[in-house]
Amino acid sequence: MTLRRRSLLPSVALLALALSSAPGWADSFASSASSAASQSVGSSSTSIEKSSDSSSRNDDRKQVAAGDYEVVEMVALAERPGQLRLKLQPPGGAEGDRFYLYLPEATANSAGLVHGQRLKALERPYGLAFARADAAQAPFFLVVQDTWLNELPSKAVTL
Amino acid sequence: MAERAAVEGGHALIGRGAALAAALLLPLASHAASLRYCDRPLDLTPTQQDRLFRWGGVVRQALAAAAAPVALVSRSGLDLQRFGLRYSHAGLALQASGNGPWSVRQLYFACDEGRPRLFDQGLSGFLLGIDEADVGYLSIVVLPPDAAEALAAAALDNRTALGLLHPRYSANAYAWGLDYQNCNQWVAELMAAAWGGAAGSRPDAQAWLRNADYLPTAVQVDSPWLRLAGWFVPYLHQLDHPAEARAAHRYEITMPASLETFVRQRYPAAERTEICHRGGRIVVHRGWSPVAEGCEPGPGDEVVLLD
Repeated sequence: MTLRRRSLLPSVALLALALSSAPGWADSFASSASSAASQSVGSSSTSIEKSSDSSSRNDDRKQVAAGDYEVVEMVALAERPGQLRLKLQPPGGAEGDRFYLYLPEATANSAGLVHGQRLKALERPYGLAFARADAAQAPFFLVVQDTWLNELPSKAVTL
Repeated sequence: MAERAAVEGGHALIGRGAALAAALLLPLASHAASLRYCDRPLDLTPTQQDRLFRWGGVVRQALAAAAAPVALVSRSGLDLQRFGLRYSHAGLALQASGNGPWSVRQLYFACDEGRPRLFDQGLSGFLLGIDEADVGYLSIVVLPPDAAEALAAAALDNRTALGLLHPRYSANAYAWGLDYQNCNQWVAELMAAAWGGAAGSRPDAQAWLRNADYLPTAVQVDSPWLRLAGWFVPYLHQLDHPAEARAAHRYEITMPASLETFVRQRYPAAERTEICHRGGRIVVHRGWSPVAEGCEPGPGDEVVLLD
């Protein structure tokens, strides 16, 4: 039996090759699993909030500017299990420039975020990319406009 | 003469096929494809996602600049160099889509339902659905206004679009057959409906395509291993192809390349742009010549640095 399996392996590998290289094949498949949200992507409507409550959330999001920030608070919230709320403020910036960034705790841990961490919010066509200031601008979390995120799923055409 | 794409034997992908080989060892080998393609997770790093979204931004800008109601968009998938092919999957990006500007209407095999369906998918999803995260190619063909308006109208008419959808999918569907259909064949038949009035009828659409000198891509399968594999792999079929084609191991399949060639020959004013990304760079290449392999910029190409 073992010998038989061994003798099959080359042809099995070639079958695998055929599977993975047939024209018109590989990327014409849609699955509900293929558009799953990522741990490193958040929507602009749920991931950013001004720490001040002086204006609407939509207006607040528009006021979050690209630039350097410092983590001045990290809080786990009971109402958002598995998420952290970071309070970010520009170094030496006014309190009004502070905002909250919500992201998965696992993402924050993976990025090694700690209190006092310097971060960069990088301007992107889709929103903002957050990177550690010492990480050569490699982002750990993307805040993507809702209109872009809404483009990810495939929606079946019906009559 | 049909375009030729030679299928050379298999040796380059043995490593990447390890997981598939394991899947094929299962008794239900015919389901290996769904194990690989239907349940694959998108395991992208933040940097990869950042680049793919920014690539989408450049594509979005190019489509907006074209100011056309529709564009033929083709996406690279796995490495198809052994076939002489860069693109494997085509759809129609529609400016006025109810799913959002430049949403792509396309045929996918719906894994959850086990049948082909038409889907609308926004540009971001279309591009993030690519199989290779670190390098990707997208081709955009913009048609002259009259042709574009007719194609957009046919594509947006759900009755016409769904009327040309066949219930049985084959990745290598014979382009002149009615037993199966692949994703690109649906686009070809929709073009026939738009430009030839063959609404709702696949036979009429194919008859019009023949009369319009449409030539599908001819895939020459030289490797006996691949020919053998073709009999065991689900969603690949042989018997819909003519006996003489099977004997010659030469299969006529609609691919993005044949769609683009057809559009160019029918509408010489059509314009093509390739937008690729690799590493920390996006390259915008205009014209009918292919962008250099490896997404290397050539003379006249626009380069967007991502890092």
